[in-house]
Amino acid sequence: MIDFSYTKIGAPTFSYLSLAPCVTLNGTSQYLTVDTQSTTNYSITGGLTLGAWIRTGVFTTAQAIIGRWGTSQQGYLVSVVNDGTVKFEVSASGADSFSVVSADPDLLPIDVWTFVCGRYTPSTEVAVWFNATKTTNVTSIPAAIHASTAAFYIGNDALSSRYFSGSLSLAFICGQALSDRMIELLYYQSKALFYGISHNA
Amino acid sequence: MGLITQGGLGNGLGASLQVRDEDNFAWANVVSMYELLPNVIGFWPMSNSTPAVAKFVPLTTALTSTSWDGDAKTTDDNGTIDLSAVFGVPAGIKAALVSMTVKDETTQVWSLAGPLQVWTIVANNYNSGMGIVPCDANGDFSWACGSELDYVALKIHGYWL
Repeated sequence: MIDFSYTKIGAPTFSYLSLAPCVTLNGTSQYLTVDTQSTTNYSITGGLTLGAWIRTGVFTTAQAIIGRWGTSQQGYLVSVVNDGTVKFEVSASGADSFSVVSADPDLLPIDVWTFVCGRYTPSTEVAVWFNATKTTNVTSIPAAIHASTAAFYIGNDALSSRYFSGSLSLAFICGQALSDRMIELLYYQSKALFYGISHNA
Repeated sequence: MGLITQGGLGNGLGASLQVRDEDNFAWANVVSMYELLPNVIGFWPMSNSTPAVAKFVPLTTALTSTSWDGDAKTTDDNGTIDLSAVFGVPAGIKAALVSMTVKDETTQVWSLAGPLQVWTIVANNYNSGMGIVPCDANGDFSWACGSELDYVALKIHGYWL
């Protein structure tokens, strides 16, 4: 069963930007939490894919997008680094981090919708997508992710309160390492919502 | 309201041709595509048109509180219970499945948890009831009694998010 539930913290705004349905967060107090008591499925220790469409204009501070990342309870997290790159990281012990950062010059454009996605393949690689561009790290990738007990957050993290400032849409998580092809299709086929499509009126 | 057509890729994820009115654009098909992902666990489209579904979370072990596990109560205790602080439920729940047990030497004393009402029907015996108690905007509900009670126990057996 797919979990659509969330709890709104700090009264975030739900609206449409152009054609895109989204939640807009203020970067200081607003985020969404998903109750991990409702399902044990979020205790993902194996293959994993998660991501969202994001739109932000803030690159001076790190911002969490989606994941479970708490004090000594680091699990998995997609975030924006304070230089405008996108980072995906997993932890094997709950305190360490195995990460990959989108390669320069793939810096987030200001206030432009961008597809971000992280994928963990056990013992093989961690990969991050910036739109359709993939960057990987294959060095010393752990065989399993720490079974974090931290809360599942969208737009924040439980470790250092890296609030997201901007808009988020189509956030998702799969308990499986999706194929490159599948992730590219997610990007290309959902892109129409954010950038429109050629059409015959 | 012109029709839009879009040729898609043969991917096994959804229709390869979308035809819809431009007011609705490709929204439905995009949502369907995400919902068909292999082993998808969570999906949050962030749209008011597809609101989060209120979901019941059953608890195999009921949530209890040391303040409500057989304590004596009086009308001074009447008021709102902060369920997340006192029982440990998530903040902002919509409703809770609650059981309430009361006992007193006096009969015909009522105890209320939201709309759930239990009376001391028999003196010095346990009187119990269970029901769904809607919560306020903060995810809390109020409790009140008609007069002092020697024993009041509340348990939360599940909740709606």
